Amino acid sequence: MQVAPPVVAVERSCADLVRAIADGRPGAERELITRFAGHGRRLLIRTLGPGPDVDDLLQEVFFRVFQRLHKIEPPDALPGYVTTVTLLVSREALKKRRRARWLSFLGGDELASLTEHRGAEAVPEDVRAFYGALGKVSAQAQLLITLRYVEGLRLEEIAVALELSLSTVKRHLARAEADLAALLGDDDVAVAPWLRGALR
Amino acid sequence: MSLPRPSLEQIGGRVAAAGDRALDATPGPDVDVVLAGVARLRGRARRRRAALAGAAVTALAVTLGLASWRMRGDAQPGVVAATQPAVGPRHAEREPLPLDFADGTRVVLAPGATTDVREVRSHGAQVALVRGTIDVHVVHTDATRWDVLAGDFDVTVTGTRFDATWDPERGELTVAMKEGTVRVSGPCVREELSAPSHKTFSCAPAATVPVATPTSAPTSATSPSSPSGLPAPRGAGASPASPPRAVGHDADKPALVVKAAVPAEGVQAGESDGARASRTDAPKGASTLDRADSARLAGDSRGARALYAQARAERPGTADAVKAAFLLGRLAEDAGDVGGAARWYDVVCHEATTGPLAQDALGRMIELEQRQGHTATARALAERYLVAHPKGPHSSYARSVLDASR
Repeated sequence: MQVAPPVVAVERSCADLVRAIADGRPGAERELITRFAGHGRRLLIRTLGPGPDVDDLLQEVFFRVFQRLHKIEPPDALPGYVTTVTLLVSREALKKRRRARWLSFLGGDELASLTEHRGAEAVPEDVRAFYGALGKVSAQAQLLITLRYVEGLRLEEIAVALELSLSTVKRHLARAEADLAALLGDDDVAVAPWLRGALR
Repeated sequence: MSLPRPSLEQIGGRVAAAGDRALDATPGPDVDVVLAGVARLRGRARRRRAALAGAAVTALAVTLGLASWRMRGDAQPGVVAATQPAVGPRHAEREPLPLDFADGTRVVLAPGATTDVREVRSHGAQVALVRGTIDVHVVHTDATRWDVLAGDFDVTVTGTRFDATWDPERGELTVAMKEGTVRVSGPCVREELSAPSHKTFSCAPAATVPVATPTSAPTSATSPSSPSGLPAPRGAGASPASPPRAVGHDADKPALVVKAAVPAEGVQAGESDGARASRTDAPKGASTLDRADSARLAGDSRGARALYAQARAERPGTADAVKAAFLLGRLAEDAGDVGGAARWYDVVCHEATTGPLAQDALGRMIELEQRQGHTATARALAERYLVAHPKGPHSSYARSVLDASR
């Protein structure tokens, strides 16, 4: 009796995974989500702060990733591509918040919805305060500051992730830091005392 | 004003650490929810594109489509052409049922066979063989890619002719090659078959669990029930978590069974004992869950229910079985079967006392019991919820249920 060759469970390479999705292989999209959902969610929370819209935005991220998967060149660039799309979605969400005058993570409606969010009790006060202060600067400045100081990315990495030149990143980050410092230096602006003290 | 950079870095580190603690304390992303969201967004995008296309383009497409259909001369009943909605289940009663596709490929269902055309792509399609025998003749082009799914098996076709027979009760796939080569893959097999050959594959344990008969309770995928109206708790008699009978060998380990094989030239060499041992590490039932998810996301509730029930039968007492029960509850809820949904959620609560699914199921049970007017039950569940998950997502609702009944 002849039997089949062994099947060993080996994680597909990113290039194989991209090809499998393009070929419509069953379970391939699930595999991509399983592999990158944690990373995407963490990045969204790092840039936006924990909130009830993170799970919806994560769906948006993967929708866009699948939509433009054929554009990834080379296919091994998948992780960086997921990061870039996540940051794009994040930036749009930040702009939307500003448009909706959700100027602070501590702000009225958003805070109310936050209390209904699963795991809301796990959001510490200082994290809320930080994102509350960040909410007062531009979306681009928020992204740059969180990527540089919270996510701990190097300037070169930020440039790749945001698809900007290194010099643009340096220039915009310097401006973002200045904006935040000026904001926190204004005694009329309500921010958490510990944050103002730490930055002075 | 310049900002003291070290201070900002310190703050960033502090925020990152606190954020990570918050992340650790919250449930991770649910892949099913993300997949469902992606499917919803795709549907929305499609509708948006369709709206933008406008009436003129639509009319042109319809005209061209009709012309193409007529030119093909395949207008007899049961024939699927590119101009007709090709996706969906098909069943051949007493006569063979041909399915013709725009690329010239033909799939003929033998009497009694059931297929589900799940996806039609530009260079192929995905056809699930639910039961019975189909005669497949795929027309080859450089980009051709067809998949015939049968249970956990996937027969990949690029241009060939073969018969495939799927027996879901026995978990057996038989492939009879007439022309060309196909690749058969599944939980315990990955093999190329070339014509002429005839081979039967089975990755199921010897004691194959009947499809859509998960366990004694719930007895049906659509309406779980027990004498008390709720499934028996774990350990109380034959529960949904009862393991299947093990006959002949370890029922937890899939074994490749090749029956009535007529080895052909294209059949690959055998495997070693070590290879067989490594293969048994592959999770069993995961593919069934995947297929159930696909069916659910594609809107095939009936197929999804059967597959979730099958997944529970394949992997009783596991996290997959709990997840399948939860999604059966969701399907019942979506179908307006409030009682059925509540009973499936109760199964989840009995089989998994902790974790996000148990938490969510308990919260949903409160809502469903309340909706059915079972105030006392809803109140008892609300109390149970607040004890187990005082800060859970349904805690506000649970408190409101208790407050309302005071």
